[in-house]
Amino acid sequence: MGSIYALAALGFNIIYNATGIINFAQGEFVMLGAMLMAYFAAVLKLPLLLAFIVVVLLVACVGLILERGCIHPLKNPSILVLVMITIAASILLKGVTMFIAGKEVHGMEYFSGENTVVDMGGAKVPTQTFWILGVLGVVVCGLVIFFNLTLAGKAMRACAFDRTAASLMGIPTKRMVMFSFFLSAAIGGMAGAVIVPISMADYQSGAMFGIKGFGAAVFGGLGNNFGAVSAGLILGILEALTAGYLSSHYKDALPLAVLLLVLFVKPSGLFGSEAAGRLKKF
Amino acid sequence: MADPILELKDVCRFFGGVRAVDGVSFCVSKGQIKSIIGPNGAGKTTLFNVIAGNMKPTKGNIRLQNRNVTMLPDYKMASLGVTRTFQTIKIFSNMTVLENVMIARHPRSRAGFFSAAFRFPWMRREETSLIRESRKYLEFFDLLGKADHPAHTLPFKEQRLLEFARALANEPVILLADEPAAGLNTRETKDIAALIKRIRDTGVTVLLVEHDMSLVMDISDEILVLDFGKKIAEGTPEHIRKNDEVIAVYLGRRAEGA
Amino acid sequence: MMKRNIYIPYAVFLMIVLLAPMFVKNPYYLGVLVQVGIFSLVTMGLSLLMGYAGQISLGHAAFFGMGAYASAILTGTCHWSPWLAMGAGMLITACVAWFVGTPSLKLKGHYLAMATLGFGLIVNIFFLAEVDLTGGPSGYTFARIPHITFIKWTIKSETSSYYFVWGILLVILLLTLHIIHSRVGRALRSIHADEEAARAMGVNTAQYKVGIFILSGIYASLAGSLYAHYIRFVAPDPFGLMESVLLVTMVIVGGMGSIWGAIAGAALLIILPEALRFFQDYNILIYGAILLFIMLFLPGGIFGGSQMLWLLIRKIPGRRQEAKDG
Repeated sequence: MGSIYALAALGFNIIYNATGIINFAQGEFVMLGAMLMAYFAAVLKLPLLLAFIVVVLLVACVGLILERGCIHPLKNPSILVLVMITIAASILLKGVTMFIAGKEVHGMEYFSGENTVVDMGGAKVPTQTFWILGVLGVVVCGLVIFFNLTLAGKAMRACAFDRTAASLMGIPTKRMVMFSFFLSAAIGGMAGAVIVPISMADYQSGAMFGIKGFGAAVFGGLGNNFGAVSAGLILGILEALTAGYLSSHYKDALPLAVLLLVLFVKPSGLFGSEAAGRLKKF
Repeated sequence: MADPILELKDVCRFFGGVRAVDGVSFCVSKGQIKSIIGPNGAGKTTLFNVIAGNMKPTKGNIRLQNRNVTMLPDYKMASLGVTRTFQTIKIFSNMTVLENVMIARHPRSRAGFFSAAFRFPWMRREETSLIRESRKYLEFFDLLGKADHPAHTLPFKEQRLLEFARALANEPVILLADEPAAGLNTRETKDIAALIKRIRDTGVTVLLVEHDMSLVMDISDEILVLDFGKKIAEGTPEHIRKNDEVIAVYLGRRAEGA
Repeated sequence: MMKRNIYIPYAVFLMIVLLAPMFVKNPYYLGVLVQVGIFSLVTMGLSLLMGYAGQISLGHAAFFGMGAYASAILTGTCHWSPWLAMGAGMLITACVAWFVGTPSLKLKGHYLAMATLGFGLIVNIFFLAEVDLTGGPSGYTFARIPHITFIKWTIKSETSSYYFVWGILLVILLLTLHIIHSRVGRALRSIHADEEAARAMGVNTAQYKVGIFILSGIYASLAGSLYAHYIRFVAPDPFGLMESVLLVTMVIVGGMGSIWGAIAGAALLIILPEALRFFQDYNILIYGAILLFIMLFLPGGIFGGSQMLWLLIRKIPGRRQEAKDG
């Protein structure tokens, strides 16, 4: 579960870094990924890998459309407008999904066969866990390579650092914004696709993914990818512990409480330091 | 020096390793116009922010009329009589000209949520006298005719004037003016100079940060020169004009730049 | 903006409210109007917070719910008088708002939005989880919530509910208008325009922001209590995230920075779904689309839009006047 938050948090970071926008529809990308995966794999019975790729591409395209249709046309929007637009988009996505897929909860079997588990020192761990961790690992490695070694990645980091300067250096900042939405939606889609076998796909699940992912992003210091991954994992473990030792009712409340606590006490997050200065930008 | 209004002792403000203000001490006497000058990045605006309470000094001591005000937040400073104008004009664009001035009377009135909601008679009287006083300040600045205009419709120079009207309505002991001539042409700058003198003549002490040398030399009683956060000279305009270090800082830079 | 007399529009509005039941005889429509009144109360508070002080809250449904649950539990389980319960609900909400608002309102923009959103979700989870207290997901079913009694009338029929709710609304509206046109209202607007400059003028911005947050929380709680006594049943569902978003939408649709807009927005977004009932489940779709459309094309809201139009029309003769003067 923590990995999913980590992935969602990465999605927040990418858009935030490129645009300074917090995308409230981030959770819907995860939900969409999950729904589509359930549809392609369980209903159409496409091969896993093919289904996965198609899902990720589709969700990424939705991200692209969101940027083109809603964010791009705005000139000097206020924060309130941005918040409400991404919320409106998330409601719309939710509505469309419900309209097409219905209200039922969808599921599918584990990637490596129905309910397979691995015995690890007495605890039975579902094989899907490893798939999820694997995807997280691949995404993190991919992002590291992308941001550090490719030209486009470097350009995006430049944008994050100073948008005006970047655009003066000839970097097409507009296209970078577009691409950041594409990338972050793709990551959200991946997260959704791998989570289906464990937590089912439900058209209403987006909001929770979103806010917990944001919690992880803030926890780890907004804009800090390493922090996001660690914080996401910590949050997942905390959540499992609450469910186990306290009350399953409050397992959703815990990440929220952590989010509030971090916001109140140290808005720059556990691993953030320079991010504190960025707060002032708002 | 007789009757110091504002007294700074060894005030420092560091940002990480950057020493924006580094051990500055000076006094401002009652009824003076004192100017702070220095090249770009010398720490003038930071010093202003520290005095006004926007930033806390890393070290040092600030006294206002013999009272220690070092750690007070900005809104407290304002109610104690330290009022500022901003380098970039900060009028309340969503209000009328009159309302902008009325805001400045905030610390001098007391209606709260409860009394406002029920409109007690004393609160209505307060409101009426607030309007009367505020109009007085607008009159001083020739803005009375536009009292009911939305503030953002005023031309640039009048917005500056409004900012001064607002600051004066706060009844400051000392007025901190951050580059009041920024963005104005020569004639308008002259008007501002005359205006600042008029403000001084009403009994308000003025502390000025300004780039425009002719303005500074013309109206200041005393000048303080900052470079790299440190005080390098202090004295009357004539004294500063002849100071070798000041000339080196200014002319040296200009020579390098040219 | 000329100095306008606030009592003239108020008097007109008062007449409309008093006379409306003469034209709306159908109890069902009257019921819709009661709901409009209840929601207007919440949006009025939210409009003070958003439109005047410029702060975002995505957790206001939580305050609404706290009022409703306080009324339900205190009258149902503890057999308190509805009026006492209403007051207690407002007090509890005010305390919670103070507790949450003090650290939250130091945050800005997205962070504030997320913090209030998180707070709202936590409160909702609390409603769901404390089954012994709230009845959990199925709602408060331990006792029927009693009708409220005003002097000697029991508020039971749709007509009496209408006059009761709108009567309270009218009183609160007057108080709110007074606040807006006062030293407090000016201080709030100065925060919206420029916080730093407001502080430089001696306005204790932190205190005002928390103050207005608490006040808007109290409005929402009062509305929640009225809701509980009107519907006579409370469940966690109507106090969730979607409801918070809906409330903010109402304020935006009506036009920020206008109390009248807040009422108009509430009216529109309550009546419209009723009119579009035949779409049933798809209202979430339509709702999302409306919100998106407004944010994209009319960020000033309906009132803002019409005001802009009005200004445009007015400007034309105004220009001529200036030309003559010149």
